[in-house]
Amino acid sequence: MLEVEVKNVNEHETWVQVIGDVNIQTSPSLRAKLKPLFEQKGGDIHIDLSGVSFMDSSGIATLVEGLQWARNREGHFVLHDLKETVNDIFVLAKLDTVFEIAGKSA
Amino acid sequence: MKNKFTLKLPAQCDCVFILRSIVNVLCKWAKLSAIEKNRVGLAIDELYANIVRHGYQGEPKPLTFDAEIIHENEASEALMFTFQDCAPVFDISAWKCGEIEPCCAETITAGGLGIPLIHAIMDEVKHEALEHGNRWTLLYRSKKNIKKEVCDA
Repeated sequence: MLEVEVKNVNEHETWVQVIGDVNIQTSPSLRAKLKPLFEQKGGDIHIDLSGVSFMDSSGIATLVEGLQWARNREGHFVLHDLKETVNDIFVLAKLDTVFEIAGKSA
Repeated sequence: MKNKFTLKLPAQCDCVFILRSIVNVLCKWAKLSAIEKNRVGLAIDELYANIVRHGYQGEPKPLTFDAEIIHENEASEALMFTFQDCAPVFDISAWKCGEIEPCCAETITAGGLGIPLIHAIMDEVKHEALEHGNRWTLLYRSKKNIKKEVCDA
């Protein structure tokens, strides 16, 4: 139901493409894919959310862990290409100014 | 009955997609926008997750879900959703019912956002303690200007 593909562009930059709905059923698989990345000592993590139409608070909680990783490791954790429905949830949760949110992914 | 669904299901994670399908159909009948449909779906998803995780603590016990369009008066209609579980009575005082507070990257914590989101989305949220369980009623009134709100945000 949820596809998560991790691409290591180089030692400083990792891209993660997520496709599908992120909810109580699927968010554990997103967390399982992201958790090893949070062991990294530095670099930047980019999350491509162009394939995600729905995300609940369990998905947001996983992304918050990325934010905490970035804060502790002086890295960047950037969300890319949010669909209008997902961006709306970030606005509703007042998280749109907390996360680094960028446009189209590379 | 027209415009109403009643469903009995085990409270387990993969059934969230069944609820989502019902909510999508009801929102379509009520002519809600894509943004509204997504918000209503999120609120239902969050309450369901709360019952599965905290009420039943992962055990697939029975749950009843009702979803219907109700006519409050001639000019307006609303979506009403009811969950009834047989979990221990929920301590409603533990709910954070206030407005979602802005936070920052330095202080944000993972988790705890589900209930505030339900309150932010729904017009009415009601909890009733039953002899053996809980009844939750959520009411959503269509907001014709929600698209504009989102664009202006």
